[in-house]
Parts: sequence; C-alpha cells; structure tokens
Amino acid sequence: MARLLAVLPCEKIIVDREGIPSLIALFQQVHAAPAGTRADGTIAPIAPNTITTKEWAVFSEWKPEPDDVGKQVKQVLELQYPDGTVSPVRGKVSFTFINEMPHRNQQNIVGFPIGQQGTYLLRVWLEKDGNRISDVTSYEMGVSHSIPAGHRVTPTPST
Amino acid sequence: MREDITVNICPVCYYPSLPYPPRDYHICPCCGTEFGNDDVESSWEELRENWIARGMNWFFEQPPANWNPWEQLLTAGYGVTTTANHFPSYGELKIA
Repeated sequence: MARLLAVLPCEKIIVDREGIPSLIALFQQVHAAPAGTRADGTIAPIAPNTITTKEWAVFSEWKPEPDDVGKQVKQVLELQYPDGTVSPVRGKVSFTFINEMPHRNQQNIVGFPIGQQGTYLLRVWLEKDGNRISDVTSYEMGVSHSIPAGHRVTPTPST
Repeated sequence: MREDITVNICPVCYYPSLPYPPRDYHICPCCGTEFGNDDVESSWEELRENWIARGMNWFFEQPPANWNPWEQLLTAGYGVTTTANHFPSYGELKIA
C-alpha cells in the first residue's frame, strides 16, 4: 500500500522546465477580517457558506510499494469544516505509479471556505476503482475571524 | 463549440453582478463608482477605502435580498490573509 510522504498546502507551486516543483508560501492559518462597520458600530457576521476566491495549492508525495507500480489510482482531497461536514473543496486527481520512486501531485484550488471558525481538516487518501486503498491523512488548517475591537457583531438587516 | 461567459465584477467594491463592464461611464449600482470619471483621479483602492469608510452603503435603489457587503468583500479576498508557523528551529550542517 502506497504511503503518503508529504502533504503541504501553500499559496502557489512553481514547476521549472525540468519539472522540479518549488512551493511558495506554506500556510496553515487563514484570517478573515471584515472591513468597516455600520453607522451604529456593528458589523455583520461572516455567513457560514462564505468562500473567499483565494488561489492556493496542495503538494503531495506518495511512496509506492513494489506491487503498486503500474497501478492507476486516484488521489482524493477534501477540506472538512470544523463541524465535520465536507466543504465544497473536494477533488480527485488520477495518476499511475510508473516506478518505485515517490510520485508527486499538485492540486490547484480556487476558493477557500471561511464561514466557520476553527480547525479545518485537509484530508488526503488514495482510491482505486472507488475503494480507498490508503490511510487517510489529515492536515490541520485554521480559520479565524478577526472582529475589530469595540465592535459588536449583529446580523445584516433584511433588505 | 465554445461559449465565453463574461462576469463583470466591480473592481472597487467587488459587486459580482455589474450589468456592464466597469468602463465607459457605467456606474456600479453597489458603490456608485462611475468608471472613467471617479477612477480617473482616484485609484480603485482609494475608492474602495472611501466606500468602506462611508459604511458600505448600497448606492442605487434597493440592494439585492440578503446582500451583505462584508461577505462581498471577503468573498473577493479583501480582508483575508494567510499565515504559517515560524520555523521552530534552524540548524546548519557542516560536512566534516
């Protein structure tokens, strides 16, 4: 069974002409700071389904066992909300282990859910024919909402 | 067959449903920026800061139902930052 050697979220992955990847700006925490206030000094809460249009990427590296060589598999990636539900960030990438050397994947993502505060889990595993064939690895990522000091959060008035 | 879909987003307040591209004296119904006029002497960033400082009010008639200016800004990435833990240690390896 292939083993995950690394999973790293970052702002961007640059791949040079020889195919060598470089990871730019690793991050583990996303801060959402609503700007501005109403005339009464209040601000609106961040809606639970808010997704910021941020571009980011996940680098992962798998070490195959000898009997994995030649197998076509799918890497599944999903971002789980702090309440355990799966966010819209979910994707699969297919690849084949061509030899016993570690295989590297890059998944580019547009959008990061920021609606819930707390610890998100970036979960990664391998599937073959729809069945999970590796352990699930979870990478913790945090989302925090920064409310300016002295301001209260109240719902947006219905319009 | 190819289909091009253009979405006009206001570069000042990030309202995602401008009826026209942000140019040629079109006015954003959300922040009221008149493109080609207001943004000649002020940058989009300056106009955005002014709109936020004025309380992010809807400009033309009534806002869409459940319109939320904070969510609009955050969705566009305004006010969103990322951080990472610092390296806990740093070491140098010398080859003897």
